[in-house]
Amino acid sequence: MLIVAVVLAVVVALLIAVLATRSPSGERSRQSPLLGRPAPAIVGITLAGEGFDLADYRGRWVVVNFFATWCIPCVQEHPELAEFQALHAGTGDATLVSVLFDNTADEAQAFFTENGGDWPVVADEVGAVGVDYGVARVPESFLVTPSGIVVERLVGGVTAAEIDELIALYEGAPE
Amino acid sequence: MIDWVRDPRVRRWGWIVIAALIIVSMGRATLEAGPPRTTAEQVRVIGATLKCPTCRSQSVAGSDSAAAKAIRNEITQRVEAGESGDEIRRAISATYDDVQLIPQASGFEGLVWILPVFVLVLALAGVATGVARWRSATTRHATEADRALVHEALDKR
Amino acid sequence: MNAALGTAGIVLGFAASCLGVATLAVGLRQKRPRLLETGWTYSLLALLGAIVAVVAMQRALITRDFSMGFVNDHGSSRTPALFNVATMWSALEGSILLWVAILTGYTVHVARKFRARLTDPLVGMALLVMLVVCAFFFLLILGPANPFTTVSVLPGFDGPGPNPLLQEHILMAIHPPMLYLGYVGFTVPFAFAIAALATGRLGEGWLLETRRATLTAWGFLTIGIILGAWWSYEVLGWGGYWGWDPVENASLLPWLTGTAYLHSVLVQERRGMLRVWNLSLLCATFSLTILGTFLTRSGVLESVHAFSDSDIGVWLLSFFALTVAVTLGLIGWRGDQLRSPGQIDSPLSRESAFLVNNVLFAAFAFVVLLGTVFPLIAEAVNGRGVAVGPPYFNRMTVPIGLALLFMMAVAPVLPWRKASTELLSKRLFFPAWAAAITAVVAVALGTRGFGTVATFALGAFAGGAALRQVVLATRRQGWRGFVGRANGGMIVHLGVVIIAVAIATNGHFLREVETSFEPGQTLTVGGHEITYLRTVVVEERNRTATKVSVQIDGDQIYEPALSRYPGFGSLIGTPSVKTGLREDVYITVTRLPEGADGPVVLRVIIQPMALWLWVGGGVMLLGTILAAWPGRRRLPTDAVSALIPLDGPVSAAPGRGTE
Repeated sequence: MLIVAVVLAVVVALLIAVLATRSPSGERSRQSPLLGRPAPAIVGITLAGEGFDLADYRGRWVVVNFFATWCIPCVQEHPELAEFQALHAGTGDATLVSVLFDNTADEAQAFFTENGGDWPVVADEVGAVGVDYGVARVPESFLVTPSGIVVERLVGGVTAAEIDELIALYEGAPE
Repeated sequence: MIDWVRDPRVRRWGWIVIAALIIVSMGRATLEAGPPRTTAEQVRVIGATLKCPTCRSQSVAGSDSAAAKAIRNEITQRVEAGESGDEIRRAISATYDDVQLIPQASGFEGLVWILPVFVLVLALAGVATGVARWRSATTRHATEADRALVHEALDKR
Repeated sequence: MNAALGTAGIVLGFAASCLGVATLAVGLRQKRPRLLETGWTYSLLALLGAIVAVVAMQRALITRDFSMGFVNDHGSSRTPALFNVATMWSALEGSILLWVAILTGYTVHVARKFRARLTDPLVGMALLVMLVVCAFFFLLILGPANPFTTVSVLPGFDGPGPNPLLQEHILMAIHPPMLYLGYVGFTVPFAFAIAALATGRLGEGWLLETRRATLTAWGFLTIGIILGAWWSYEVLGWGGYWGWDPVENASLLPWLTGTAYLHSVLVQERRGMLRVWNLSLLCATFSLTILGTFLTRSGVLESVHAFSDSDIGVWLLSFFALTVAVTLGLIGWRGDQLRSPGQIDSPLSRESAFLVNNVLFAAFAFVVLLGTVFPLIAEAVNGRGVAVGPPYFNRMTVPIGLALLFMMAVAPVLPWRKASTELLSKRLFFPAWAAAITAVVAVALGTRGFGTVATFALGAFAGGAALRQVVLATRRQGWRGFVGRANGGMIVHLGVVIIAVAIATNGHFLREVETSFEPGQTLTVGGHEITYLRTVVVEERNRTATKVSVQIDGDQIYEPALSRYPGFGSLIGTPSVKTGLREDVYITVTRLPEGADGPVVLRVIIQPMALWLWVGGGVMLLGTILAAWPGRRRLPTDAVSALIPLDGPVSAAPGRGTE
């Protein structure tokens, strides 16, 4: 019986040690199996009715942004995205593509008409692109290098400054 | 109780019939349980083994969140393309972290499957040896004092 | 004002608990009866403190006193009255307050019940343990879970209100108090177990003293769990009632060990065996309530119900460690006194059946605990999380559940001490026929799958055995054949059988369709005609609900909805359920129409026998009440087991066996 008690005590002590050293679950995010891998293809029709293929954008940094008009943080980050696009429209070193997530093209069209924004927006009614990128909760953005590798997953709203900083960071480091 | 049940021979035959009925019906129920038939059923079965990435602990099959819907669509497409459940699960976990709701059977994760079986076997063995020990323990005999107590209690009645 | 009052109540309760602990400790040590008698006063003062705090909390909620931290965070002037009362347990701080209120209530109950024996060291020690637990929970409120903070508010401020999911159904007002009455109730037998260990009075006395308290706690926990399942079915909208979520598991764990205890305690009462095991089960039950609270409240695990998190984790974990250490220490210390005088005569006996039952319950609890904490263990070892979800739990627990159903059929007909196969073959004959016929009929009607048919057959087996016992008991004792522990227990078994069959049926025959409806369109889903009428937006006090009117079977109108609560971003879906004896029609809105006359996407789930889950819960409650009903005292000369056949003809003994 003593043996059982000792074994039990050790097991419980180990359990407590494990539990005591766990960090709250909220801190585990931003990870993605995609990081360091080629960006999944995005081929589709934009709101403007043009064809879109992510592969055409090789040689430029691409921010792939997933959003929905019903999502409040997405609406909040919209001006930041617009600023980023305006900044890089002239230099052409980076661009932005938004992919709809659980949102219809009509709703998004109305939103863009009202709030502005002239970057390509790809409709994705069934969410296939979202699943390819492992999107959980919009807004989510992915930073894709000029060579087509996903290097960052940004969960939640982003700012233009934040993205620029990240790009600068990666450009400074040898790829 | 009804009289004929009291006859041990009748009862023996009764038990044989019971055993036969149960073996036949359980056998049929087990052997004929085919795989899910429709696409929707397959999607549900596969979705139930994947965690919805935005919900806290619901499965893709059970959630109405946007991500779960998108993953369900993806599963439907892949099922229609003829992929197997394992292939689909692998494909989904290539883009989503920690979506598998079933731990793997190998490696460290295998412990979650093996440990309970191990503990159950150990406990049953413990009970068996315990019972054996208790049984072999010397039987106590009532003392005169015990008998007196019993008589006293019986007299009170 | 309210915050100050509440803090005063908590300080009073904490001081009373601490002083009570100190006084009782001195009284026990120096054997001074006068000091031990003060236990009553201290428990009353602790209760008074808790009541003052609860009144202050409710007053603050009702008057919308946003200067109090808790009301500022979780109150709102838009919350309807009932949910405003229930706001107290919608978040961590308030639920700890509810906990402390119930705990002090139980403490006073114990002090009152044993008021004539307060000087008995066993009672004094038990009261001391309860006051230690009270002191700990008061301390939690003073420390990491303080609802009575003060904040400055601007005029016109309105709080966000409680979590929307908690404002959706009336069950939210009942389920948490029931669950807590169960959780906290196990403190009473735990305190007596510790007292028995500490005072060395290890006989069966303490068991008998706490019999009804244990049964009461178990009954409340059972009802709390079932109401919780009902709540998630009616509110969460994913169409299920049990998702093996950490919070659900945390409530199931003490229920499993508590149920094991209710059975194994009988062996100790009758035969004096399993002393260590029973003490361990009670201590495990209590520790598991603390561990469960830690798992769900510290934020280490994700959960649908983890509505709040704070740094309370360290405190709860330390208390858990303390409980386990004290228990193990005491049991180790008293080890040699715990040797059981009894013995098992035959592997084919009631006591062996209870042993197997306990092994199964313990294994069940182990699976649930392991599955719940395994993601954390894997992360600590591998650095990589693993999700352990419903498929794992189902696969592991269904075999254990089936084995338990089997034991439920066999154990009640087994006599104590020794049985013969002849006896078993006689007593189980009809239940076995019921099982065989059920299996044949189920397969003939097209049921397939081992688990489902086995559940039906074993359900009939266990139900038949339980019915047989009830029929025999009523035939012998009249209406008294329904009351008392053994008879009430059989009613509980019937409730369990109903639930088991309902779970199997629901899981096997559930059908689900997600489809688009044009306004006025009628579609037939699973044999039910469903007509989409219109969508209306309703502004309610606490939310803006978009209600979709649906007519089911040309009958009543049902309104599944998507609601937005101000202050909370995402939409909350509310299912609407047409309840039926055979099956429920469960409808949720997946996509709202874009225009006034656009199509709506609805998810229709046909839920067979869902109603019977709650009916089974009701039967279990009824059985528990019957079991706790004050019955005839057993005479010491009553035979406690069946007569063992001797060689030669059995003498004409009066039929007082277990039959």
